[in-house]
Amino acid sequence: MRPRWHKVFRDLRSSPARTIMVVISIAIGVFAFGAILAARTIIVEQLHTSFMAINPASGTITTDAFDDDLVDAVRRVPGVAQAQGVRAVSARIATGPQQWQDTKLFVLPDDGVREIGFVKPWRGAWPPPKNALLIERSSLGKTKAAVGDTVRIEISGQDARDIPIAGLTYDLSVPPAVIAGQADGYLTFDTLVWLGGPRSYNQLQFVVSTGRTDVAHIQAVADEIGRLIERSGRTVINTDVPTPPLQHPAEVILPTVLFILTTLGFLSLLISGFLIINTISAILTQQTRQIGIMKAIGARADQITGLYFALSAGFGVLALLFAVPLGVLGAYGMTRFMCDQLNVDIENFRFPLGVLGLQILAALFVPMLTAAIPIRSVVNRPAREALSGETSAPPEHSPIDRLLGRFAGISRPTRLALRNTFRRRGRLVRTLIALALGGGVFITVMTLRVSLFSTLDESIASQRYDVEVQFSRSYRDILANQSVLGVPGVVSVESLLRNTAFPVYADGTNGEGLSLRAMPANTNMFAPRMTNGRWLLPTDGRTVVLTTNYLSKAPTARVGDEMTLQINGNDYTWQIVGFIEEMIPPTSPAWAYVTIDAYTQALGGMGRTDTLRVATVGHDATSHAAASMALEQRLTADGFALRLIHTRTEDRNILTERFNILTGVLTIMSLIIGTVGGLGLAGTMSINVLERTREIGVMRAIGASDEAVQQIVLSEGLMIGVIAWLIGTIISIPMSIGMCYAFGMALLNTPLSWIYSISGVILWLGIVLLIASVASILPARSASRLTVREVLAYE
Amino acid sequence: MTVSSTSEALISLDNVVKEYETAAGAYVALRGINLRIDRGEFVAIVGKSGSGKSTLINMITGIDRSTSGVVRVAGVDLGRLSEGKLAVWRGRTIGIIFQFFQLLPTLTVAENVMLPMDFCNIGTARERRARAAALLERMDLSEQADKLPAALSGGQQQRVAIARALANDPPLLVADEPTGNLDSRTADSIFHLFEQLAEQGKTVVMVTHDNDLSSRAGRAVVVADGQIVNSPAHAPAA
Repeated sequence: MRPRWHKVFRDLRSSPARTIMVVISIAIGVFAFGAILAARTIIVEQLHTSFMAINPASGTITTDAFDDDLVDAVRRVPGVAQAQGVRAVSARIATGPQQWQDTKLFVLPDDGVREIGFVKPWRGAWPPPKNALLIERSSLGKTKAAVGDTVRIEISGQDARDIPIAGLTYDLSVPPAVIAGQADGYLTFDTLVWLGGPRSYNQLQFVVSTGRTDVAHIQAVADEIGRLIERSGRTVINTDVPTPPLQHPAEVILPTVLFILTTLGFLSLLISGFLIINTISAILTQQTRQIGIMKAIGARADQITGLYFALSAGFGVLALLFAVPLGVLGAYGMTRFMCDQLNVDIENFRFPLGVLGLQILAALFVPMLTAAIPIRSVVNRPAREALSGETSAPPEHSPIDRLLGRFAGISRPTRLALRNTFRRRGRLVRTLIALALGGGVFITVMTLRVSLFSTLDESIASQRYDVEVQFSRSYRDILANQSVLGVPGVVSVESLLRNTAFPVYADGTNGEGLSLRAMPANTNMFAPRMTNGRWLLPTDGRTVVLTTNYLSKAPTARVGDEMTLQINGNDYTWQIVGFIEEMIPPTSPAWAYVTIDAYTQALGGMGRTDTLRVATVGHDATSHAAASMALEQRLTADGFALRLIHTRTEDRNILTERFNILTGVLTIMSLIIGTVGGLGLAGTMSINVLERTREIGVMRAIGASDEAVQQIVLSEGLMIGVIAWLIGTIISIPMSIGMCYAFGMALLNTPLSWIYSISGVILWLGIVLLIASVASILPARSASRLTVREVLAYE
Repeated sequence: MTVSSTSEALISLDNVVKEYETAAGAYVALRGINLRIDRGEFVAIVGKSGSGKSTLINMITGIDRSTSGVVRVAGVDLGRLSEGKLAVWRGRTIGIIFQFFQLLPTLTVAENVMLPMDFCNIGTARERRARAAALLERMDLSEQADKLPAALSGGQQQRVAIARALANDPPLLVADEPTGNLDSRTADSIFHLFEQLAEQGKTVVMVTHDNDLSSRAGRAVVVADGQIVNSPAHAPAA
């Protein structure tokens, strides 16, 4: 090997602490970037592969009750490869005394084998035994039961029965329990009939024989099936063709989360870049004279450049040794975490070679590219300057010095520390950028968290009821109200009617069903947060107010537009008068609000109700639980068939669970970025001390104590930390505003209410001071331990 | 101590002026230097600290450029070479020895000697190793070949620096106070090495402020206030 390459190797080994610092800086950046990118690749691929493996339906048509004859007829429709009937029933499972979990029951064939949307056995019995239930594995926790336990179940409008949980299933066609907030159960038709349900299908699923990704083709086949259904005398209630086809329901929210994580991954790599510039600059500064010697003995600028590029790449190679295995572990952890949340199994975890290639490129080229700036500046310095060891212009009397001069009370060592802070401006700026970005991201994530929960609270607060009671059928509202008002603690009650409405588009096709609520225009139980238009008026005719997430499905919808809604099989035209914010994930249907008068005029049901909103004296979790129990007892005793009772506390808990996952991941990422920033500060402090070794020696020679030397170094570190905190705080404002907007729009179709996290700012100040202290203590101690003889001999 | 004809001179400086811009204003380090040094000469450049002698040899080695005037070394006008070409030219033409030895601390003694051959792409790896070994043997340093410079005494380090300067077999050796950091006995042995090299045909230009040593050189050029004050060589070229 040529001697020059020996120099590169020895330079890497000559200062282990410095090498470790740079290697950790690069490794963390490359690790975070690689882990996120790999997790992203694996999750997207795994989700797609797993979803394809269940043979997802090309479309689902909801219609009146039907049997296998219709399914057989649909199978013969040109373009249909497979068809099956499905029965889905709303139910609830008791999770405690008067506490229920909203549950959806699906009927499986007696042998458990579906043609479309395969449900796999997971644990325990298979297929579903007679008079027993299987639970989807991700939702078992929601039932608060275990396999083998007997639970009390009640399907809409029927008596509750005890049923054993005989096993678990794995069903990727349903949204994960953590997102949907409901449990999913599986049983046979015999069991459903035993529970009081019907022995018929209500949904028809089909798979097209060709063009499974062609929406227009699928829609044409669906239309053909629809015509067949109508010829059989049934009504097509809804046709759902997923757009884009073959996409898992959770894939809608995945890009946003992954985009944010990827951005954070790149950010950590960028911060690493700043640290590399600092370190390479410091190395070059230390070796300025060596560069001069090499020039003097015949080295060309490109040869010297090559040496330092090789050194930078050497740091990268060492960093790869840590970053790659850590990246694999991190990717596995993140993939596992995300897949658990999405209810997807990691069937074949293989770190993507493409990401490994990117990690290698990043580890080698980011240090080389970032180092190019200081290398160029030093290598191009004239040989005479390099030989003389001149590293920068001599210090001048700067404005900082003049400013410091005005404060007579500042001690000399502190004054020196403050002056030192601003001595190497380029290095200071890069350290500040690294640390401030870390702080900015940390405060942004904290703000995002506060804003998410604040928006959640606003949304919950806009619902001014405490408990919502849903009946299995409609009752006379006067009777229902009387029963509820007799419950102690109930302050008021309001009657609603609920339904599902399907938007009918210009081409005659139906959109995804909307949850329709018909309520009094001058409701006391709801304080709508308007984003556009107005709320319903008592004088309104057929007007409708929609939740903003409807715009993700029909982006051109505007206030003033007319829309046709198919309700109970008939089309009605309504005018959109407003849009309101509601905390509804994009995977959930949009909500449509109409006046109960206009609704009953169009569809009948005057003086009846199937949903009650109840306000109680207490508004806390305990009061809600007590009210829910009392209402259940009273209404059941009075003969009302309940479908569901849920409180605002429960609604909040479901959303909180979702948000905690997101903010948890983001907090981990922000801490990683903060760590990289902290390493940057530690690196800068070590470099500063190293460069000023001679100066420290002089100070000690003229009587500076250990404490004075340590005070200078510590003060400098703390000063940088405080400035970085200040900048981080300032940049976190636009960052968090942007993040709250993007996050809200992507996840909830409405920007989050931006609430700046003051506690985040204070917490980051604490963290940054801790980082600065830790980062400065070691260099400060080594500075104070140097003997005058060692220091003055330092070359 | 003679002015040589231009055709025979290895080094010729004509009206060389060097000015530096400093915070205190322009500082003139060399004021119209004219100097000829023939092949095989052993020239000592003497003068007080700040007289301009180091600047003068920086002009000769191409480490610094003149503000005006012409510097020709081995037939090359240094002012016309780019930094890159100058480095390669310097590596092949001049061996430089510094007062503080300036060995690369992370390379072994042998690697330090091989480095100029490496940069100038002279010889194969085997040839470079062999030449380095021969040079170190000549300097009586064979046993130190695999040590790092820090493990050597000052005199040994300076001998390594001389070996390094000889690595590319340059016709010219320029030494900037090579004995300034050594005790008198070691300094004497180092000076003796230079005498031997000059006898073997190398042109040696040495900066020193040791009058005893300068008197042993073939010619002494005295520099004061940026001018050559003792030598008729400062007369304009013919």
